[in-house]
Amino acid sequence: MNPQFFTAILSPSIPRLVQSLCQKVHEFEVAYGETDSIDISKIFDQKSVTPFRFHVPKTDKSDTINPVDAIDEECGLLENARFLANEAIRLCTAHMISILRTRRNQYNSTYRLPNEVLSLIFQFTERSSGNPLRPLRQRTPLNVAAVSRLWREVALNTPSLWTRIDVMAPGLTRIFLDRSKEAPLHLEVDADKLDTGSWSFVSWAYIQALGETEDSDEESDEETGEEDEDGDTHEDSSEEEDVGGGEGSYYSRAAPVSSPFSRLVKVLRTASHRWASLQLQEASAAEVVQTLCFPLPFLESLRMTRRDASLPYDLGTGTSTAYELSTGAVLRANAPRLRDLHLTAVPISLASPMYAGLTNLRLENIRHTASIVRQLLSVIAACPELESLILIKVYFRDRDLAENSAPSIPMALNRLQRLQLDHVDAHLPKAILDSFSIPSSVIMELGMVISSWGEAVMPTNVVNAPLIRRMFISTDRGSSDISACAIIGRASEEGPVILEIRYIRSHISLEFIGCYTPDILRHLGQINTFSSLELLTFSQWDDKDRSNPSTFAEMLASFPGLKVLALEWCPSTYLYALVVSPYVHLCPRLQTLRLRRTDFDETLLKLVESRAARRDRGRLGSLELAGYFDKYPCVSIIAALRGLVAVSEDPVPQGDDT
Amino acid sequence: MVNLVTSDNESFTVEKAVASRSVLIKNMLEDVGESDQPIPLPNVTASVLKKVLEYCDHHKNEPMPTSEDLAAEDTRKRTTDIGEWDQKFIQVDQEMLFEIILAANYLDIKPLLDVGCKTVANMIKGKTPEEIRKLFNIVNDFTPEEEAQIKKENEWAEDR
Repeated sequence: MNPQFFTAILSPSIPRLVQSLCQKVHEFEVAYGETDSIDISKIFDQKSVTPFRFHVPKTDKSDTINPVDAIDEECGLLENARFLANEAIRLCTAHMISILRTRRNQYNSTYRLPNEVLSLIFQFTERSSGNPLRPLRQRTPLNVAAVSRLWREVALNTPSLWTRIDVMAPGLTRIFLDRSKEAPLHLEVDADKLDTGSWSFVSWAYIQALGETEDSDEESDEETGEEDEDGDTHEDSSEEEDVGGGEGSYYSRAAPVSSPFSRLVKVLRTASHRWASLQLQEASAAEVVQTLCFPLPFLESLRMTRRDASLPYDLGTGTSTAYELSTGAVLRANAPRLRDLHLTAVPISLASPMYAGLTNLRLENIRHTASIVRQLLSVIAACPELESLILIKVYFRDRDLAENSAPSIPMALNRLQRLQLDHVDAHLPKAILDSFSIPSSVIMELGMVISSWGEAVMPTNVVNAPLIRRMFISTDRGSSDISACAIIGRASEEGPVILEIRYIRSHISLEFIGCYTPDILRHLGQINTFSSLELLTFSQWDDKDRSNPSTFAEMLASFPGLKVLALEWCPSTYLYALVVSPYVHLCPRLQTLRLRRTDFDETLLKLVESRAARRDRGRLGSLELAGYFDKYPCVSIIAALRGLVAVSEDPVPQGDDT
Repeated sequence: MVNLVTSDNESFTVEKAVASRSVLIKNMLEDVGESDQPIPLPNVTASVLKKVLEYCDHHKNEPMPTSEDLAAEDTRKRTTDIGEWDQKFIQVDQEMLFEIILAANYLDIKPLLDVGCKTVANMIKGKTPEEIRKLFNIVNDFTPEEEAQIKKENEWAEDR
């Protein structure tokens, strides 16, 4: 610190402490080469203090100055001097302590790390998946920047540390934007965290209609629905006066420019060229429009979710809109690098170009009122690099089209690794699998909603079927929670499930028709090739025996390579299918038969007799019985079986009738 | 075999595949060619090099990070997951932890540097500045002006 700053208070009347303090600071700086001084002189300027002078005022009456005023002035000056001395002591000592502590920290282990390594550590803390965004006071960037001067310097010079931005105070948002410099931003905005107040929005029907108007040449008026009738006219201010209230109106309520959401978007928009990912939660339709209506040239991931799709966001009384919607730009190709798109309960028309070129597409809890299945197929066709396609509870206006939507030559999706269609119309998986050529390495999960077995469709082109060695099939009467039929396939015992086909009972079906082995199982192997299947577990969780042995036999006929067959809770009539006769020989390689909770009678003896005597690879060598009632006639049958085949037993304990 | 000499003048003879986990040593070996000359490592002590070589030996059969891996720098930073063996390996006192990080940085062994940095990152996560200071024996050396700025940021953070 330059001692000349203190010239004004270098008076014999100033406590020597200040003088020695100044001298001490000066010596300290000379010793340590510190140049970042505190400019005490600014404090003098701020307080408008004249240079200090102290004297006992004259009391001579001839003096033109009133002595009382002179004394008061001197007292005031002295008080100022005391204040300044205190400030000087506080600042000087604080500054010196700061420097000394910095020097102390230099002996610390962390201070031996090069700045780039410390920066890497900081980046790991922020970028890890388990690092929560909230509460803000626990955010790593703020905390590491408040540890020490060096840590702060490193933190402030690590742009990627400041790229995760969620709902913050505007001042803090600006800090994050500034400190992230030109690094790509990852935004997570939960609109529920903002004060919604007298919030307003555009209807979801409007959002859906935007895409439809783009596609008006292709779609008939009937197809595009009521929303199309108003076309693009809502850009006109005259139309805005009409908005709200009327049926089919685009605007349900108006959106104020000064809403917290608008203010946040306004701040974030200054860096829109850096948006790399955006998660938008619980946003109204207007907020979605507001967020996506400007170019986002580097946006790669967009995830918009709402918890409840049934919220009446598209209803309302409405007033005029206060901000201009650039409908021409909204949802257009203003995000050319978008690859990852997740929409949950946010219905955006499938005609929107935003769906093109994706590698990950996840739609959930969406009921498309205007879009049709053919548009979905077009969306997928526009994403040849698709790696993951997930549709959960996605419904379309049409259904019949799904059955006849497949093109004659399936288009290749060579990169698809995951296909999950859950709680969808029964025809949709078939339509998709028939329309696209998918690699056999794909992991497939197909969950179809049916109200009767008559609606059930077995998908064709299940490409990973030849890889499946172990399969579990269960049938049940079904409920909204339990699948009426589930087919689960693995390539190995320990491996993951690579195929899951489920039929789920519809909520609207009052009585589910057909709690017997459904015909679709007959088609499972007939229209798909399970050439590697070696182990099949068939479980029929049905207390009412409406079994259909012929369907069961037809299903088994499609699995000639079976070596192990396990039947659980099945009727004994199924065993007829496995008795070898001169005309019928199902499962010629069967080596092990497992029966659990499955009744058996003399048929089992016939079955084993017909198979145990064989000399070829299909000799039945092992019979495992579990969960049967150890009483007549089982005891005598088992005794007879022992002479033919290795039998293991695990009967139901006495007294347990469950 | 490769002969390495530490700053405290201790020699370690290791397989070339183990020593070559270090890009620094690998490049030196490539530059020098076949030679019996020991490689001096003036920035690494014997106790630390022993630990580093333990890591290199365990991972000697794994593929070296490719240029694509290094290009995907952002992905590397996204997870703080550490493998089971690495977790046990890195359970050392704080002083040794920072020594290993320094050695990994000097010897250019990126996977080991990552393990060390991730471990420190996991120690920092969720802690307040005061807790971090206490953990690493750092003292608050901010000036009053800096403190005021930090206080302002924290007040904004308390808003939400």
